[in-house]
Amino acid sequence: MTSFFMNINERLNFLQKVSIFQDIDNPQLLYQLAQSLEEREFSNNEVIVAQGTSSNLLYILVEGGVKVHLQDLQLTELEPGSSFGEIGIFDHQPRSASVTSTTKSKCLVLTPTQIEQAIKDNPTIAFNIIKQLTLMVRHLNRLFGTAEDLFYHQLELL
Amino acid sequence: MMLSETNVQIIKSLPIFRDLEPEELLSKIILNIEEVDFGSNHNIFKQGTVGSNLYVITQGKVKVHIGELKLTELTIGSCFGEMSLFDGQPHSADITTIEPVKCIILTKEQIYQAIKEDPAIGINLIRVLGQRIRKLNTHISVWLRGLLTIIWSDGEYSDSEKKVVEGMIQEALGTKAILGDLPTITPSELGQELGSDPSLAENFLRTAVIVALANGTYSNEEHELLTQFCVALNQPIDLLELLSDLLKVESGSKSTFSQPSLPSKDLLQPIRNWLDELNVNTPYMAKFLCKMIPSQCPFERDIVLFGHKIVHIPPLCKINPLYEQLVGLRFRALCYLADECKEDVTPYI
Repeated sequence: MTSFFMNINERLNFLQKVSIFQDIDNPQLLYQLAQSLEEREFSNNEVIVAQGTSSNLLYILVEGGVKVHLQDLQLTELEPGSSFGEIGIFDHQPRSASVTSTTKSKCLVLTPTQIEQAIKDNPTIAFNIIKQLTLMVRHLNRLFGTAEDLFYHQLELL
Repeated sequence: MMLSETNVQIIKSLPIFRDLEPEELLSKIILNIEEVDFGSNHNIFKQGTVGSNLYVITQGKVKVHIGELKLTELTIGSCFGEMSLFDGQPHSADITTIEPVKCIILTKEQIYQAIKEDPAIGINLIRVLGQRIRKLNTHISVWLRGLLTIIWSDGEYSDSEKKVVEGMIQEALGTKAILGDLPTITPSELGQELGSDPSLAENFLRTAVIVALANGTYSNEEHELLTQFCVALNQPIDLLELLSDLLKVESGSKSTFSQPSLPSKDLLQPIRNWLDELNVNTPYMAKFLCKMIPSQCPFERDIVLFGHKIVHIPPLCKINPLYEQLVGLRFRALCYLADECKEDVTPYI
């Protein structure tokens, strides 16, 4: 086993600042996660998530920077404390976009089982992820000049 | 209040409650749901306000609009209001009834309580939102490939056209794009992805026409490809025919549009209407238009789109059939930014 780049206390401090873990009901959860989460390190310009491949891990960026992109088209850049991979956690579909490191980066990784358990213990995490995804939908809708409130209506057409 | 069996079925078929177990929990949620009546022409909520209700239509029809601009109609089984409920941002459109309407209302508290009692509802919602984002990601790349295919159609990948597309992406996504590697797209592929949603198809075509015009010419190749796109998207081609009659130059010719022998106003009415109907409904669209159409009065000058001349306006500019539309469009965009977005518009004036 490789040595951790953070000790338990550093991990706990960090997790408390992560947006999807804000306002949670049971603080014990973060302590459990701090003990169990896997770490991954990436060099500059390394593909972390590849569009079209199947994977269902949720990543939390601890250090460095990543970009979310469709081929050459960059959708957004993320900073430490952001998470990515939410879209693929529960739907077993290939990844809808790629994520590539823009500098040397470190991430914590949650498996679907861990995140599902976390949501069951702390439904607030589901609210936080829902809020984050809704903002993402609004952001993408702007490109098409579409009114966001048509969201479900359009979904019915799928 | 007891909901009718039909309404219970409507609720159960909502994406957020689909496949929900145990069934009893849903029944518990349903027990607390209220159904309300709205008269005809009743404004349910306004653009710019923050809402905390999810509405599901059980009878009648509503229109989604922004001020005078109607975007679409929703009917039985459609929901609205949920985006604002989830992210706390203002509604992006108005909802007004067009006939007497019954709606089931779920409050933010009810939905949050439901998720607390059964986190599977939360997981369902995450899945539904994820699907929507996947769809939007596909749309973005199809949309951009469509525009690039237009740009390349006349063999001329001009900087001005490229800048138009890159500028749009930057405005909308706040990000820098390099368009080099996106492959071109066939009309049928485009139709498959964007054709099922008429408003999306129409918005794509408007953008595509603007992009085609951006290099100062409307070539045969551009016209033919746009016509194929139009057909694939199930949109009428008569406007393109008119544009072509008005603006087309011979292939390979670098000349900008000569002043056409002014066609009669009647003939151009559809183009005028088309420009008049262009929805200014997002800050992004408004900024895009303000940049696209120059601020000075185009009296005795050239109308310039994206810094490139598209129409020469003779001294009698008032009779140029598109003059009023372009100026009017810019005005609507400025008003939208100032009134709806409370933005300082002086940089555009």
